[in-house]
Amino acid sequence: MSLIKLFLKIFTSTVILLLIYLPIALVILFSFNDSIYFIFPFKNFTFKWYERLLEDPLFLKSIINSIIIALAVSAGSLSIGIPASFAFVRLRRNTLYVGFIMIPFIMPWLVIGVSSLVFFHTLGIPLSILTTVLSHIIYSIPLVVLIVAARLISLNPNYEKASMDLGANEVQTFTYVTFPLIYPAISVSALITFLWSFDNFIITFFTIGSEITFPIWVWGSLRHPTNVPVITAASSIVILVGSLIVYLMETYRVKKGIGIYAII
Amino acid sequence: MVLLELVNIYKYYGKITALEDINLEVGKGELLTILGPSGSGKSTLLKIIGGFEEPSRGKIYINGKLMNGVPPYARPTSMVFQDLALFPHLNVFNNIAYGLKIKKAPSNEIKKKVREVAELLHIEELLDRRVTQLSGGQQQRVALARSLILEPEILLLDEPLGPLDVKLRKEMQLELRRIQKRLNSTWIYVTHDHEEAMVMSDRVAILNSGRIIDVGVVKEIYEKPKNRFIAEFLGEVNIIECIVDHVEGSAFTASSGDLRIEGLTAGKLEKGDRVNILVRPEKIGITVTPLNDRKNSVSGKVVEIIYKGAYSDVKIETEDSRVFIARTFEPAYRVGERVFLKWDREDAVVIKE
Repeated sequence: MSLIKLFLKIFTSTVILLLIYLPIALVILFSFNDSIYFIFPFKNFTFKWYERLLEDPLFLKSIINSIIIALAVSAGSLSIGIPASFAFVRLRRNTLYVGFIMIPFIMPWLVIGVSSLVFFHTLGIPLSILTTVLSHIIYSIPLVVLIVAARLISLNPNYEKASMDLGANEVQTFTYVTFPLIYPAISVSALITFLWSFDNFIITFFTIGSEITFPIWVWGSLRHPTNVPVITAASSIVILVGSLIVYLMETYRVKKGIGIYAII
Repeated sequence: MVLLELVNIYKYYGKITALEDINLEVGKGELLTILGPSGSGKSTLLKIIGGFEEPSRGKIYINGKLMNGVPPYARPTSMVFQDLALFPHLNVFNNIAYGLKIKKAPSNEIKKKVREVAELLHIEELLDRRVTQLSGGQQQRVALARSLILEPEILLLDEPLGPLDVKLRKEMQLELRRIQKRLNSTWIYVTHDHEEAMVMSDRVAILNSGRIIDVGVVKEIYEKPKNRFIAEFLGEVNIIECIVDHVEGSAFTASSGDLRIEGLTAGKLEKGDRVNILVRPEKIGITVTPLNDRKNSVSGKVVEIIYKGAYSDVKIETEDSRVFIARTFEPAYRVGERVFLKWDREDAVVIKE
């Protein structure tokens, strides 16, 4: 038993170190290297890639665009996904629709991207940030439904009944009982849909038109070999900010005593 | 004064009839128990009173007002759920205060009332705790406090003591009864445990397969059950099926094989009627010396002695293979020993088949 535990410990720590943290560490390391090639030995320490990055107006614009899109996608998919979860769980109708809402989940992003492009083109809608937001929402809804419905199913219906019994109407019951109890699931889906949208390249590529997002900016920069180290600088900033956000959230989670089990 | 009135209540789930022609009146300040085996429809009935389910037919009146279609939050009832359903995201204080906060009561009034009800239930010390940190008994009290603070006209309790261990359960039964009497409030208490029903209630309504088969004071129902089902449901009982030989006024004699039985009946019997004679084990006397009077008496061998602490149940088999159970406080008998049983004719209940 303890041998298995030991093995698991070593295995997980090795996997996490080698597969997740090492590549990230390398990116950060090379962002300070005064060379356009990613090879050892390390040349001189420099901030010049960061300087070049901040001089690039497209970088800042791409980050801002990505954040706007991600926020809109998160809000949009939650406002469709949460009521949909309630419908599925509360109406207790085991219909085909349950399966249909999962279709974007199994469709390759490339297919969603191409079909979105065709769709908007057919309707004569010019490509923009809006079209990107719409196509991101499509593949985010199933995720929200999966996470929120899982929480709703496990929610004891007597909590809501008790609330109604104690004088709260439907709206008050949702505000003071249902929402606080499914809040962890909602915040998790908000976070994941935000991140998915922020990271997404393929669908964005087909639907963004002449606008730019962070992944598109990275893609564009890759075509200029001298610009590649700038990407490492940009990635380092994104990693740093991301880590900071995760750290703050984890502190909050631990402080509130919410276990991992409470997330889903 | 009649507080709750149920008139011809029916409830169907698809083709299944959950409740059939329920008529019931509950007076102010009364504790009525709805007693029945599982699946008898007792929880459904409670949900209908609380407004969580609508009856398929029939009318509900509280204080003379028609309650059909009125949602739970607009009814003067409050329910203590079987699983209590304490809000896990709120602490004890906020659970108890929930109803008053919804009513937007001023915060000093909320504090005062929470303190009062917490004192009544001896949970003043727990107000800052999370509900998940409480023991089963403490959770029970919080759930009760959460309902009582709203001073409902009718408190509905759905087997709230179910998960507790026996000792705590018995303590809580007495305490609940004390609280109910002290507040002089009206409670409807659902249980499948006949002992609990006897300890707690003013009156009991016995439900079986969706029908009320008897309503009345517990003592009367226990001692004068209307039918075999009720008699058997309310505890151990000896049943002798026999045929009436002779009737004289309220007294009669009947026989079953070699057995000669004398009984008293308020109902009308005729020679040749088939009747069930019901005798509770505690009404049967045991002796090892043969009896002169052979009426209302049997002899047989002890086949089993079931020790129950304060008393023992002695199982006796007669020569013609009838089994009797007699209750004794001094189990001075051995298995295999020959004993004689006897009961008074006043202690036997007669049910016509």
